[in-house]
Amino acid sequence: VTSLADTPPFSWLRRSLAGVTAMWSEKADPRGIALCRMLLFWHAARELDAGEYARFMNVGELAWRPHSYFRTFGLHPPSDATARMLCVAYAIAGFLATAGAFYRVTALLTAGLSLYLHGILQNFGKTLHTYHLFSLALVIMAFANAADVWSVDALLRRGLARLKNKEAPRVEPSVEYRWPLLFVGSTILVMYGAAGMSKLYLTGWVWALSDNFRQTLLQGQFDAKPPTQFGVWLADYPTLCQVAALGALIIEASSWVGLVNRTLFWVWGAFVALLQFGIWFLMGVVFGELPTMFAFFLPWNFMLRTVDGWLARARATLAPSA
Amino acid sequence: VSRLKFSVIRYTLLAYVLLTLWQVLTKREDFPLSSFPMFAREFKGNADRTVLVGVSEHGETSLNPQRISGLMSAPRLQKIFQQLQRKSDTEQADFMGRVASILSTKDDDDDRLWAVRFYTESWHTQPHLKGIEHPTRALEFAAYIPPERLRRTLAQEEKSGVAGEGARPLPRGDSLYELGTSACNQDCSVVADTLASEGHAVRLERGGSLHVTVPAGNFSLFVRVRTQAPGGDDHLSLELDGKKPKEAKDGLGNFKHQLPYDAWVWASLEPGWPALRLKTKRDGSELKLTADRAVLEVDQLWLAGSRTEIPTFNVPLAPSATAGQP
Repeated sequence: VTSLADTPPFSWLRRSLAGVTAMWSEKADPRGIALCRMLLFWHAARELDAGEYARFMNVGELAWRPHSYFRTFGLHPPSDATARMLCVAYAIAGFLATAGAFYRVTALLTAGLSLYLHGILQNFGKTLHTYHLFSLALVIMAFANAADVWSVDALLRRGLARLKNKEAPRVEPSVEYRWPLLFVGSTILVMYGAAGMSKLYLTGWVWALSDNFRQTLLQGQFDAKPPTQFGVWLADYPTLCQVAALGALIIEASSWVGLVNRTLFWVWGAFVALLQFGIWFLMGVVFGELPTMFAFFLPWNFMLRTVDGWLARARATLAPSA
Repeated sequence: VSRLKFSVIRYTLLAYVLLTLWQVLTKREDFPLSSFPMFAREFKGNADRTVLVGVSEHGETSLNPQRISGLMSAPRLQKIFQQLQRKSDTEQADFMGRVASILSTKDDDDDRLWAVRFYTESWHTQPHLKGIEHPTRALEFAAYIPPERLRRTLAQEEKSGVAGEGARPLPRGDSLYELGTSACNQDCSVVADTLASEGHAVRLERGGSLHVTVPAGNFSLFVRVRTQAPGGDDHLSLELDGKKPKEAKDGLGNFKHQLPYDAWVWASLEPGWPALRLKTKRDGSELKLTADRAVLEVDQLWLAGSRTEIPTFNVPLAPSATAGQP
């Protein structure tokens, strides 16, 4: 008797989910997540200028239009002095987390302050979508073991072990270093999926199958500063514009398939990275935090193994012959 | 990773997916959740850009909103100033004081910004970027930052009844009208005033009016005026050859909200806005000013050829003409 789970498409889904479970259960090199930690928290430490943020609170209070839970709980923007202090704390915590110093505390503090400080910025009449995933990524990384190597904490552990005449704990590849990378990558796919679905939900297929994309390309030239005028050339070919728009819309709206299939996870990861590059290339739109976050899609195990191989070969070449 | 931890991770991700789906279906934005509706609306072929400019004695200069704060964008600042229009005079003054303190990086009075303005530049997007250099430009609104020096002068003049400095020379090519009896129409009289340019000015009762004859040309119109009326009543309606110019639908004056002093000021449309620009095709056009809401005194009328901004000083100009004729 053939069960329902053995018939397509359920059989495909079952196999895919098994593949995804296997992917999440694989061991990863701790240096991969350590590098992602450095990139992410370094970005966090440098992105908010305390003076600018405080001035924004000082001037922006008139535009305070709380939404969501800010309205529900009657939250107000912080005073400029408080904002300045919190931004400084955010930067310091970010730097410490980058260095992997007291990581459990500093990473959690950075993530919490990011949620608050970036959340505040959403209440001045315009949503800033660049911060949503970034804050979530910081939260995910705050719960990750991202400072087991290449960190101040690791140095301290080694130093303490030496003081006690013990051998420093060895850090082996582990699943612990894998899931945070995949989790952040998954949130990126969820974001693009939501963006595609919103287009379909709010505008429909006409978003792609009309003059919309062509006009968007031209508009980018009028009210932004794209790095190229390739969009102007493309706008001369309305059918090509519709094909490009349809491709982008399908890629976006179907991004969630990457969550249920291991191969598609990497394929869609590459797609959305290229899509983001294309948006910048054609329209000059930059989501400041996303390029940093695309690092989570990189095949760190493979890259680190390759670099290790090069270094080993270089050492062998440079070593004096016996 | 323990089985429990793995389950927590898996269900957290599932919850994030479902919550995001809920955001999409309900079109919500609950940071850090979102429906991410960037570029989701259909573009119809029009592009707009908000442009911020600052105004100093040198005229308009383009202003990067990030000079106020690195997080500030022009549309966001525009929204802030739109909200500002609904606030009380005190709140507006307090806010503009804060903006001024941020912008006042230069010590020179001439460089100091005393207004910020928002223009909307609009294009109909066309292939090959046709027309990109020539957007339609409309002044949306302006916010006045009362110059500290002017405020001090007005406060001192109100308190002591003594002028801060002497008259300034009339710029070459401009016309000046010293108003006297012959300028009066109705409910208008000449009154002595030691701070007026020639020791007298005309006083317009409520509904009173004055007139002058102006030459052909293209000029900015300024009036040296004072009133005890509150903000909103400090208003002179204007007619040129019996018609109200559409640029002057809100009349002249309108300064008391920002400059609440019983002292002489140079006024045009409204502080912060460019001066009223009038174009007359023939010599002898009749310019009529009516104080339709309160008593106002008017000292001089200045037709400026090149100046387009309200002066940041309040002293009279050295006269070159008297009583209704330049």
